[in-house]
Amino acid sequence: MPFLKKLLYYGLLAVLSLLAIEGMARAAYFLAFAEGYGGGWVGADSATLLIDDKPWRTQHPFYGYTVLRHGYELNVMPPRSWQDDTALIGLFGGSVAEEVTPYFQRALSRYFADKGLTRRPVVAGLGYQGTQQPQQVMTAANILLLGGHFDIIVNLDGYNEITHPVEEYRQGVYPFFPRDWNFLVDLTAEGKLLAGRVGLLRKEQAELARAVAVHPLRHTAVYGIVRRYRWESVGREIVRLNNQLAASQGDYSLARHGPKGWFAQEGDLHPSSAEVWQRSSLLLAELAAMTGAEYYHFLQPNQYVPGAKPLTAAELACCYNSGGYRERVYRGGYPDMARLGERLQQRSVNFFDLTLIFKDNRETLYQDDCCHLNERGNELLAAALVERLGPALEQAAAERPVSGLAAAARPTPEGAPEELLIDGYFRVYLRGGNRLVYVREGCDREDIRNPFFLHTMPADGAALPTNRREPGFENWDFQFERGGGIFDGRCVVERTLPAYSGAVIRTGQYVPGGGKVWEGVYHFEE
Amino acid sequence: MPFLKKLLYYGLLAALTLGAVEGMARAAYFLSFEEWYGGGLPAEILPPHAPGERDVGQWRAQHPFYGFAPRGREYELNVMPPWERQDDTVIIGLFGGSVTMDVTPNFREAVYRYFLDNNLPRRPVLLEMSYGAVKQPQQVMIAANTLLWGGHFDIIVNLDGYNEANITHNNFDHGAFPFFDEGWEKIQNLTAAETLLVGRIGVLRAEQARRGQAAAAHPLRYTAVYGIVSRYRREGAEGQIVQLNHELAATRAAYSLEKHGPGTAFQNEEDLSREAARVWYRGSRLLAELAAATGAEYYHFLQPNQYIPGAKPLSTRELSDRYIPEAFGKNYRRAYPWMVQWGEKLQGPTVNYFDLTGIFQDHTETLYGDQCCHLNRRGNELLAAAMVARMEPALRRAATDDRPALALATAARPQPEKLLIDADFQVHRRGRHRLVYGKDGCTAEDRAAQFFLHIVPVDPTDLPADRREYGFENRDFQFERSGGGVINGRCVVDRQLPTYPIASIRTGQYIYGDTLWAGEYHFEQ
Repeated sequence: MPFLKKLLYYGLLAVLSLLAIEGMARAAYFLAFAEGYGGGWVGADSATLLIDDKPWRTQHPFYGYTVLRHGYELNVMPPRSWQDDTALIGLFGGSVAEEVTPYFQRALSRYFADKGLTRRPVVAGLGYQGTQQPQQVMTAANILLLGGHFDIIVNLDGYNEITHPVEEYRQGVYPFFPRDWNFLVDLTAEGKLLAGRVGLLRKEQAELARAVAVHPLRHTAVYGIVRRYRWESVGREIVRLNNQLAASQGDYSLARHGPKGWFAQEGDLHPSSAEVWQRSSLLLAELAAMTGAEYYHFLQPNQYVPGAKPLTAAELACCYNSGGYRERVYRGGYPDMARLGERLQQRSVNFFDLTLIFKDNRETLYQDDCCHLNERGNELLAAALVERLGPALEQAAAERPVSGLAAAARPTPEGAPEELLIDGYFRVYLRGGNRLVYVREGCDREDIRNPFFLHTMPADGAALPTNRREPGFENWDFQFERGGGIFDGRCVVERTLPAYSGAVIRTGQYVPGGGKVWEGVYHFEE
Repeated sequence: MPFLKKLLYYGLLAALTLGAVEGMARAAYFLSFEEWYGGGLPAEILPPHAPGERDVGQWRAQHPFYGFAPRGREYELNVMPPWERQDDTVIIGLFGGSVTMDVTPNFREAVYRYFLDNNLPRRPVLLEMSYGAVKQPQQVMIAANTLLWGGHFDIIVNLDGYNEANITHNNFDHGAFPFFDEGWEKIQNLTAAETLLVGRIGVLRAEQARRGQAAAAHPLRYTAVYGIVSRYRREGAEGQIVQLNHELAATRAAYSLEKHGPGTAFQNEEDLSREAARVWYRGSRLLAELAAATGAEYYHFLQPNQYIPGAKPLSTRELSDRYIPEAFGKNYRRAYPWMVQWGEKLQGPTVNYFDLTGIFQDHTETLYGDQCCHLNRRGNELLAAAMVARMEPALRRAATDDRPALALATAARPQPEKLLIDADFQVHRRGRHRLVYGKDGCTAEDRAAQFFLHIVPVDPTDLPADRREYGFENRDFQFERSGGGVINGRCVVDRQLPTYPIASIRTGQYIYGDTLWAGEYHFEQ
C-alpha cells in the first residue's frame, strides 16, 4: 500500500474512532444529565447554602443583618436629611416591600404629577429580604439617630412576622431574633471548619467554570462529561457539608440561639408574635411622630388568607401549597394579627389590612407559594398603597414645619448649595457635598427610558467593597423611575454619593445591550 | 566467587550504602533542625493556634440589636423576661455605660431610701440596663427591644456623654464607622473571605494530623531518611499554615464594609465632635419618645468628668494619677460645648435634662477613681444623690399617681400567685417568672441579712457555662439593693426567674455563714 494511502487510511480510522468516542460521550452525557451537550458548558450554582463564600447578607450591629446588595446602600449611603424640594417616603418591610418599591415609586411620581404637587416624591427603599420586626424599628431608629429624615414612614409587613418566629422556634432560636441568626453569629469551631471547606469547594467550582469556558477541548463532550461529573460531585459534597454544618450549629449557645424557654409549645407563639408586631408598629408610629412624619402601616396581601383571592389555575399550580407549612402557619397566626390591627386603628395608627385587596381579582397575581407578587400584582399593590396614602402625600408636598430632630441633622457644608459638575445631556449638580442631582430641561419620556450608569472611584481603592476592587470602581447604575420625577417638563433625579473622599465619578446613560447615549466625568479635588 | 560470598559482598555493600545514606540523613537532619533524629516526629511544631487563627476572645458577645452585650450580663439582658407593668411597683430603667453601671448600687440605695423615708405606697424596682462601653444608639436599641418584648418602664434614666464623645473618636481613629458600637470590627463574626482562610487552615491541620498518625506507625519511622522527608513535608505544610495565618490576620485588620461600616467624610476632629453631640442629642430625643410611648417619664443626665474645665478642684491624688487630659480628656472636652448647646434644646415637655458636669465644683476631696471618668465610692454616692434629688417629682408621681395605660404600655395584668415556701419569709410565685418574698411586721435585721437563691434547671445545659459544674445558678441578693420595700409594715422584694424550665429552687437568708432560714420548692414538670 503506498504511503499516502496508508496515511489516509489510518487518519480516517483515527478520525472515525474519535468521532465514535465523541458520539458515545454525547450519548452518555445526554443519558447522565438529561440534556444534549452544548459545548462550552458552564455549570449553574449549587443550591442556596446556609453559609458559603457568596453570602447574601452581612451582619449589622443594630439591624441584626442587612442584605448585601441593599445592606451596602443601608450602610454606606449617608441618610437623607430634610430637603425643601422632596417628599421623602421610607418604605419598610421584607422582600414583598422590597419588590414593590419601584412600582410604588412610579405610582407616586404619577400621583404627584397628576395632582400638580410641587415637591418630588423620593422613596427610600428600606425593605429587604427576610426582615421581620423588630428590624424595621431598629432600622428606622438608627437612620433617624444618624440624622436621616422621613416625611412619611410606610411599613408593609405581616407575613414574615407570623412565619419566621415559628421557623426560629423550630431551630431552637429565640423567635424574635433575626432570621437564621444562629448561622450569622458565633459559629462553632466545627462550623467554621465546615464553612471553610465549603468555601474551598466553591473555589474549585469557580475554577472549573473558568476552565470550561476557555479550554481548547471545551466543545468536545469527552472533555465536557469529565468536567461535569467533577462539577456535580463537588456540588454534592457542598450540599453534604452544608447539611453537616446545619447539624453542627444545633448545640445551644446563648449568643447563637438567644433566650429559650419562653414558649412552652409552638402554638403559644402566635399571640406573642402578633403582640410584638403590634408594639413595633406603635413604636414606628412614635418615631414618625417625633420627626413630624406621617406613619402608614399595611398588612400585606397573601394567598393563604381565606377568601383573599379567587386563585387562577396558574396560581393554584405555582403558588398555593394546600395543607402545607405556609398555609398552616399563616392561617394560624393571621387572626391574632387582624384583631390587633383593629386595635392599632383604635390607637390612631393609619393601619390598613390589605389582605383582601385582590378578593375580586381573577388575574394571576402571585408568582410563588410564599407571598411574592408578579409585575401586575405589584402594580396593583402599589396603587392600593398610594390610594390610601393620598392625604399624607398632599400634606408632605405642602409646607412642613421642620421638626426638632430634623433640625439636628448634620447641616450641609457652607457655600454654594449646588455646583455644576457635568454639563452633559443631563446637567449633573452636586448638592450638599454628597448628593448628585441630574436635571434636564424640556425632557420627555424618551430621555428617561434608558438606564443611567454611575461609577464612583475613590482615591483609596481600599475604600471599595472587596468584590469591586478588581474593576476599581463602584457601580451605582439606576433607573430614572427610582426616585425621579418630571416637573413642568423638567426631569430631575437624585443619587446619594458614598462618603469616601477624593473620588472620580463617571456617569451617563446607556442602551441595554448597546452603547452609551451620553457620558460625563468629574474629578473631585482631594 | 561462590554465590554466598557474592551475596555477602553485595549485602554488605548495600548495608554500608544504606548506612551511609542514613548517616548523611541524620547529619542533614541535625543541620536542618538543630536536633538529632530520635525516631518519629515531634508532636507539635507550631502552637495549636497561630496568631489570627485564634478566635478573638472577649468579654462580650454579639447581640443582634445591641451590637454587643457583655458575657455574663448578656445572660441577664437576654434571658431574663422583661418586667411587665405591675400595680405595686415603680420600674426604673437606668441606661448608660460603665459610669452608670458603677453608680447603680448607690442610685438604687438612694431611690430606695427616698421611697422608705417618704413612705411611698409603691416599691421601686431598678433595672440595670447599662454596661461597659455602651454609647448611643445602644441605649435606644436596648430600650426599644425591651419594650417590644413586652417590658415596661415607669421612669427611664439615661446617664451618658463621655462614651458618646470619646468612643466615637476612637472608632474613627481605628478606621471604623464612628457611630457603630465600640470595637464592632473585633466582635463581628468572620467574613466570607476569613471563613475561607480558616477553612483552608483547618484542612491543612487535619492533613497534618493524619500525617502525624501515619508517621508514628510507619515501618521506616526509625530511619532518618524517612524522618527528614516527612519532616520537610510537614514543615512545608506548617509554613503554609503560618502564611495563611498572616493572610488571615491581615484580612481581619484590613478595611471591610462588614467590619468597619461605612466610610465617613468628616473634615476634621472638630467636625466629628459636633456630629457626636448631635447623635447624642438625637439619641436622647428618641429615648424620650420611647418613654412617652409607655407613659414613662424620662430623665437625661450629662455625666460629670474630670476633664471638663472648671468642673472640679482636683485633689493632689487626682492630679497625680487620675488626670491625663491628652489621652483621656480631649474628646469629651471638644464635644462638651456642643453637648451644652444641644442639651439646652433637649429640655422640654418630654425630656428632663440636667447637665451634672458641675456637681463637684465645690468638692476638693478625691472623687475620681481612674484616669478615664469612673468615680470612687464617695463620688458615686454624690452622683446618685444628685440624680435622685432631681428626680424627686417623678418618683413621687410614679409612686402615687394613677398611671394611664398609654399607647405602648400594656395594662397592669393581675398575675396569679402561688405560695411556694412558707418560712420566715413567704415566697410566692407571681405569673411565670417572678418570685415575691414577703414578711409582715419585719425588722431592720430581717432586711439586713443576705438572701440566697439557687435555681436548678431541668436541663443543666441551660446554665451558664461557669455554673454547670455546680448544677445550679446562684442569684443571691440583698433586700435593700434589690428594690425591696416596706409597705404597711410588710417587707416585700421580688426577683425575676429565668425563662428556662426550672426543676427546683432553694432560697433563704444567711448572716456570717449561718443560715437563718431556708426553704425549697420542686416544680412539677
